[in-house]
Amino acid sequence: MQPALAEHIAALRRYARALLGDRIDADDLVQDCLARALSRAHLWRPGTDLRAWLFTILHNIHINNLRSRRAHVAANEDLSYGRTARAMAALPDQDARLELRDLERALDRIPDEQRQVLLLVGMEGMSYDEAARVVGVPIGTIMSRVARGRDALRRSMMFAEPSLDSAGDGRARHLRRVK
Amino acid sequence: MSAMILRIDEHELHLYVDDHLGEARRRVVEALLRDHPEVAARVSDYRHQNELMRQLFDPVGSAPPTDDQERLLRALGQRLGRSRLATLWRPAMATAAGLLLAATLGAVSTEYYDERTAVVPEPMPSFADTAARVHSFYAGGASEPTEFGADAATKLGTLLDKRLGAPLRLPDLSQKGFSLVGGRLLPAVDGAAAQLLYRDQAGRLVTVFLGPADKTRLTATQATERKDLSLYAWLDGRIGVAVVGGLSGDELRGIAEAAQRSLLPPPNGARSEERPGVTPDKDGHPEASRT
Repeated sequence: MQPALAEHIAALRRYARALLGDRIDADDLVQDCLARALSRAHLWRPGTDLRAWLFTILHNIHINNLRSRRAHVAANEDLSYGRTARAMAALPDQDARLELRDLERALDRIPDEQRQVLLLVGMEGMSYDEAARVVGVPIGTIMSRVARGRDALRRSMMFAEPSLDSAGDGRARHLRRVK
Repeated sequence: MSAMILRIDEHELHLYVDDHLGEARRRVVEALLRDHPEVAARVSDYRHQNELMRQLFDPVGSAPPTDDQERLLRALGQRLGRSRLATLWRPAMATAAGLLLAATLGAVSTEYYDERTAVVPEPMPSFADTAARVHSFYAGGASEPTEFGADAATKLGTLLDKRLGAPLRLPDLSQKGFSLVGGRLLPAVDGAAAQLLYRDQAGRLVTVFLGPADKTRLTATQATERKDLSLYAWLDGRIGVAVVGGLSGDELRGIAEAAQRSLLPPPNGARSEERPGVTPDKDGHPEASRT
């Protein structure tokens, strides 16, 4: 197997998990993506961007899933993001762990389309152009989603509620970090 | 006041956060951040968000895939590997095909594509990129530099006229010591593009590249200087014009301006001034289409 492909799959799994929150949903999404890529492998043009191709396939399946779920679930129910608690990196530092939890919750609260773009650009390191092609929107839309998403995350983390499992409060943590 | 400026640069701020800014703009943003600690705090928060996302989800990527994923992955690797082998001929052709494609794909919309077509375009070559590649390829000795000699270049003008749907005039660079060697027609979406090749006494080559610019991101005059290539491009109505050559940016700009002037509609009665002989060494003086 090409090493590049293995890296792309790791990225797809990371992205799917961050996007959906739920491990099983994320594994299913990646599996559907790989199956579809396999059935269309003959259409992939060597020399073109394999990562973008795979992410686009995954994105389209994700959007379809959202649509069909929306059609079946009551309108006021939040279904854009799984609420299942995620495995957290075993960090020795309590503050760091709480901060990760805050980010995870903050990600939970922003609209799916902002989350997609923040993850593609911020976590996967895609160029705005590449993200625009994966998501299928103009680059200006990517730009404004990034801006709005980051502001929302920032506000959310700044005013994170005091955690139940800690005596510290979110604001103090944040201020300490910002310096 | 400064808040206004920063508002304008909001998108640039995010490009900065993600390290997508060029050196020059990065310095500008950094200077701004030094004067505006509140903005600097935002930037540092945004960067921290990126770090946290990676910390949080990197372990997911490095964890072993499920059995089903593993199986699909292996099959996909084989399939993609095969299609790679089946097309090993491509590198040999890539340069030639690539630049024709570049000219052709130049107008493919980058805004949306569907994975069903499985054509994942590489970032769309801009008009300027295409012009630069055309010059490097044909002036670089990789092929016959021209398809039409200078004497037949009139024909090129006519061919291009039809395809571009706009009257084409052949720029006159004699003022700068460059005479037309010939040209070639290249495919492009919406018709055709043309390369005109000019040479001076010292044998230096300059390309004038003309083509439809509607969908190729050429919206304004553009000057680029790369390590051994300078380029100057502008819009002449709906037609994009690029002057490319291995000259200094300043010299090339002068040549481009001469080309630009010669493409302007001549003032009444000034036709004799207009083209004092594009190719002094050849009898077939290319008479450009009328304006």
